[in-house]
Amino acid sequence: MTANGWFQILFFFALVLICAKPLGIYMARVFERERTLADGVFRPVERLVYRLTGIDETHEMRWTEYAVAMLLFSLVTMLVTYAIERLQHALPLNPQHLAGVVPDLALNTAASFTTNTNWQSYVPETTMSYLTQMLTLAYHNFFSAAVGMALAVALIRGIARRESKTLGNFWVDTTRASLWVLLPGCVIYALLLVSQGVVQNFRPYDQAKLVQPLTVTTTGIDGKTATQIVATQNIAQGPVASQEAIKMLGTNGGGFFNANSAHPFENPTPFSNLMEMFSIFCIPAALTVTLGKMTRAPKHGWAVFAAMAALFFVGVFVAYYAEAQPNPLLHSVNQHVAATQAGGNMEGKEVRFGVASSALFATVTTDASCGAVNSMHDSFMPLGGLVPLVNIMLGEVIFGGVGAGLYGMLIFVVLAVFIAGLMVGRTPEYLGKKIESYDVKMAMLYVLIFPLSILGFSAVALMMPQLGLSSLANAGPHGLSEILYAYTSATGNNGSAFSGLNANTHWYNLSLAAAMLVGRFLMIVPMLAIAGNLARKKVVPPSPGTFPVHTPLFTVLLVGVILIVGALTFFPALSLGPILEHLLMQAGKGF
Amino acid sequence: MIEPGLLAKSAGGKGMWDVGCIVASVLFFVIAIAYAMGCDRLGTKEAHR
Repeated sequence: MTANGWFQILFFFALVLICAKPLGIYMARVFERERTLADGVFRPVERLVYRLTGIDETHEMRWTEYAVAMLLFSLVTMLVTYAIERLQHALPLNPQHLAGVVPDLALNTAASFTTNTNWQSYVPETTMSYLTQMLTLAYHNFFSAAVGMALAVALIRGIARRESKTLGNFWVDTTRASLWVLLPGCVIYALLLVSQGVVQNFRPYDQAKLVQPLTVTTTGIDGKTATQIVATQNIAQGPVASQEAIKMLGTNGGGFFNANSAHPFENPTPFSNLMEMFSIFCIPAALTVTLGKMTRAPKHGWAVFAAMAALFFVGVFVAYYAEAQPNPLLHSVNQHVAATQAGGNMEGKEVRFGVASSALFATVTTDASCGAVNSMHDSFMPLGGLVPLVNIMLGEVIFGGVGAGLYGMLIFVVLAVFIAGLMVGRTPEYLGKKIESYDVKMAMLYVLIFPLSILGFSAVALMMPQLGLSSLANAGPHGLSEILYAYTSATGNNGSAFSGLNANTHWYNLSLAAAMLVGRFLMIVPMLAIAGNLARKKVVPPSPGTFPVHTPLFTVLLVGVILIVGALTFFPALSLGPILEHLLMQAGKGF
Repeated sequence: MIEPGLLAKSAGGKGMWDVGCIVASVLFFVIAIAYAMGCDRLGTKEAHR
């Protein structure tokens, strides 16, 4: 590890910290429908949207109505995405004449983008037309993020409101999140990306002549070898900057190119790299301030922020430390830091980013449910790869996805408050609301669905070699980690991958689609149930026995609950995967 | 303009897959809505206890 590396990490975090308060207060004003500077531009557009769609913006919804509106909206948009993918060969903006996407992959991709996962079992530049990328995938990037923000705000309202049956209006919250927050942010951000060299055009791919033609020998399925001379290279391009902006700001993560943010057309410079990491964290971090403002408990918002920050620094330290170490299997290679080399484990990393920025990006993208990558997580050292995996397994509550991170964290807050209540023998209270058996039942449902999907699907994939193992590139604990990572990423709606697993098979496309849908919607329902139940409750005045939720003690308890729940659930699987791989690597065995 | 021939071609041989994918998607969301209603009923029952 170097001082320069730590400076980059601390500078990044300082930016997030500085931005959190103003953006958080702005979002609170947007969702509480108070006046903002942007009203002159967006209010007429908002009114027009409601007039065209017949939405009554004054209508308040119960939690069930809010949930059903969200589910139906997601179903319809998912089916439209599926149809466009299947028919893209017959639709415009397809200069490469790409074929329609096959059904299982189309379903996987439709589920992936609807759930804000952006898992990609395909190579985007050779599979998706410009129209598919812009009309369906970029569209979902906006609206899946806006839905996440709407849901987080609904939960905050549930905490803040007293004796109310309603949580707001799903359509209004989603529209305001898109118009007031995501759209202006993306316009500015896309222009900044273009200034750094990110491409934005509708041209067919350019063809470049190779300076040195390559001779490639391939073996067909019939066992015959064929030799081919490759003298040209296709330079893929397209409307990248506009997609890149919402990909990061909405914590979506689905790259325009297969190499994602490691591709020089998506992430060309150290400045664009810093912007991309910052944009993943800025809205989730600011939402903690929104929580404090809307519940009139700003210190509580900062206590939640502190818990997220503590877990972030633990993750980034372990990832950076692990990646800065030399690979013990490369005995005779000098891997130390010098003026002419980055040192440490540079496999799968871009030289222009180096170890620190790659470890930081991997931590940030999996703390949040983003999934964009600027280095290949599969090439990380076992303990370096453990960090992204654990970050997702903890529920992506370390700042987390746009909206999803905050509501996931608030479920842990409910559990932490409940445990604190048990310890002192009093009825648990959270900001004056009594936490009762129904709230804890729903919180446990939320917490248990997550490992059930990850470990259940992983177990089935491992037990059925013809389904789960046939497309696996690595044996031993690393192979286990690849499968475990795939289902963790899908259920956590992250979307990053350990790339040694070819997931474009019938089994993986369908089972990962199911994991993504379960991990999104079956967890949102109990969360909204808690919101609805909390909204109905009276506020109890604080007493000497009330557990304060704005102190360092609360932050420590919250971190403890998150770690214990995560560790207890996933430790056996982790010990057979990355931890065993680390021990075997120290003994001189690699996979 | 979408050419009808191309639409037919896209469905050719994959029609059952398309039906299966669409039915499975709809079924999942129906289950999710039923699950929400179940959670609500549990809440109502507990409130009346």
